[in-house]
Amino acid sequence: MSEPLLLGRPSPRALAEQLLKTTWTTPRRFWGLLACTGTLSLLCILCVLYTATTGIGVWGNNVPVGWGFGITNFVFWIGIGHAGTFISAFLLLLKQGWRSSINRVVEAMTLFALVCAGIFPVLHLGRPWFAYWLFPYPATMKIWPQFRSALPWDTVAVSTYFSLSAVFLFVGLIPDAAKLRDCAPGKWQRRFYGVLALGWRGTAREWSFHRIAYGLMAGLATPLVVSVHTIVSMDFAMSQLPGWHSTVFPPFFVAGALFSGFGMVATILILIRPWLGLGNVITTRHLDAVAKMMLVTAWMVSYGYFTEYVLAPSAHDATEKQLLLHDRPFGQHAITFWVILACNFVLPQLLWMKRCRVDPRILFVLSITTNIGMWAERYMLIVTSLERDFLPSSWGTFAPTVIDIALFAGTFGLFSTLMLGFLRLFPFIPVHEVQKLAHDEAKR
Amino acid sequence: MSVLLAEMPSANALVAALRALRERGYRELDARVPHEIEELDEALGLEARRIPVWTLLGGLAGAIGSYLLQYWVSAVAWPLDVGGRPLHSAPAFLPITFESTVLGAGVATLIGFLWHARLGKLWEPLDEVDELRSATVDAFWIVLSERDAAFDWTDSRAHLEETGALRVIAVRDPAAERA
Repeated sequence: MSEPLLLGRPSPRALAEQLLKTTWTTPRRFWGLLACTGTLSLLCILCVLYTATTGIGVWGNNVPVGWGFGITNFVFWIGIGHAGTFISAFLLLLKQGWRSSINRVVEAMTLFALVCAGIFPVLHLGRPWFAYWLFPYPATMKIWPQFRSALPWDTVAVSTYFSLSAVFLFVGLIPDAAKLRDCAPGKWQRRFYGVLALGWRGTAREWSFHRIAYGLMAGLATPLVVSVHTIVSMDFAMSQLPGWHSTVFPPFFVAGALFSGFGMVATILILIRPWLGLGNVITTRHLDAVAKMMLVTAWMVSYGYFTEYVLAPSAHDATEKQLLLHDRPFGQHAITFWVILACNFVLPQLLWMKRCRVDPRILFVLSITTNIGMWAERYMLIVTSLERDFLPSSWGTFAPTVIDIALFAGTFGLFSTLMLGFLRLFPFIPVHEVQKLAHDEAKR
Repeated sequence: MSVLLAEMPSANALVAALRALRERGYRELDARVPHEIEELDEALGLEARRIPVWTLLGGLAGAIGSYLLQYWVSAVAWPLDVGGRPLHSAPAFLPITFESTVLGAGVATLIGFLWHARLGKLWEPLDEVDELRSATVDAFWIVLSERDAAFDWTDSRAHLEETGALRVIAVRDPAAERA
């Protein structure tokens, strides 16, 4: 890759001025956008309140499809987060310079995607106010979580993921919070960022420990990229249900998570780059790199489909054969199957062409289809498997309710509102990392 | 604490100046810089990084603690026979053990970092020097403490200026002046 990571030879001062500016001046159209996303998140909040006060019956799930939209959306949002951790942690260990400009955007994306993801399983408990029962604590009834079930594993995996993502984001933010503290125009800003900066002064000692701690945290976050979605996939794979009980699930889920996550990264980068005038720090090389990751992970996902379908005819289980060879491609939800094939296998092949990787318009469309495809995949996995159990007498169908759809749409509002709020309060690009990048590039 | 502050034009100039000053025998040197500079540790002779020990201990605590908790809950406190499976079902306990290891290690790393980098002190006397505020934003400063054996107000100022400093500021501690 020969294109530059930074355009021009920006000085530390120019970079600080450009990148800290978004925190002091409201970007154009900010309030209009916030009003739109805020309205949508209000919808989310109303749906959450309605579901919690009325009962889980307002969702479309019912026996036999106990896991309709709720778990589909949970897996979808969790998956989005994975690319964020992959970029910020894994690529740090591989010393990939291109991550520096975008790692804070994607870390924030991870954190807020996890917030959206968390809503669904907690509501799906039916009585969300008892969510704390999932954690082992000495209850008066002397009842404990069942650790042989995959669901408590999920609780631990997701809460670990959330905690460490937040810590990782925070530690990376400390030096930038100090920058904001020291050039804050007013007393309140100075106090706010001053508390967040924890008294960071940029001494050699602080930087030395910061590098070690940040590197260690990256090393710890990297196995989470693989393990969290592995454990999510075990919610399915540990069961006996045809279409779920499959050894390919853990790697297949991780690849799918990265694929959808990189799609979301591309969507966000393409939207904020022209809006905030960040063309010189988020260059076409970043889009190119993200697009290549989409292509790689699309093939990993497709390999998962391929394995499933090559092995399906030799399955000893008639129900599984029926599911994979008939119900999914030609059954009631056949449309999802063909959407998946188009979005996750056929369309990503366009990314072999450089023009599609670096043209923001084409990449934007592909990033959206990626996430449509990946959402459809989780929907198909969950719904078609549950609808057709072993016993025809317990077959059923699933249709989402208005609340299901509104809640899902609302989480996009919540996600965008949180992203916008973060963007307004903190520099979206890690200033100290880009300054270091400029320093290192100048050395070469 | 009384110090001499010298602003350097760039990161490279700062590293070169620190090397030159250490050759002159200065040891109570520090830098205030806006971004990480890899050569800084070596130029200042910094070593001793104890954070990995925190990570290891936190990870071990997470692993052992969570495994024992699962064992105790499933086999001792609330033994539940699920289809005749062993009460101590080790393979089923591994996912949580793994995640708790990572969580314990991560939290311990954070605490170790805050502890060793001595963060949390929201104010210190040098914060009152307005010029030094640019150090976290975009400027490169050298801090030479008066505690240094080779320190001398006029000679040290000359040494700092020789290294190519843009400006040198003397900060005298009023309390030390009176004493």
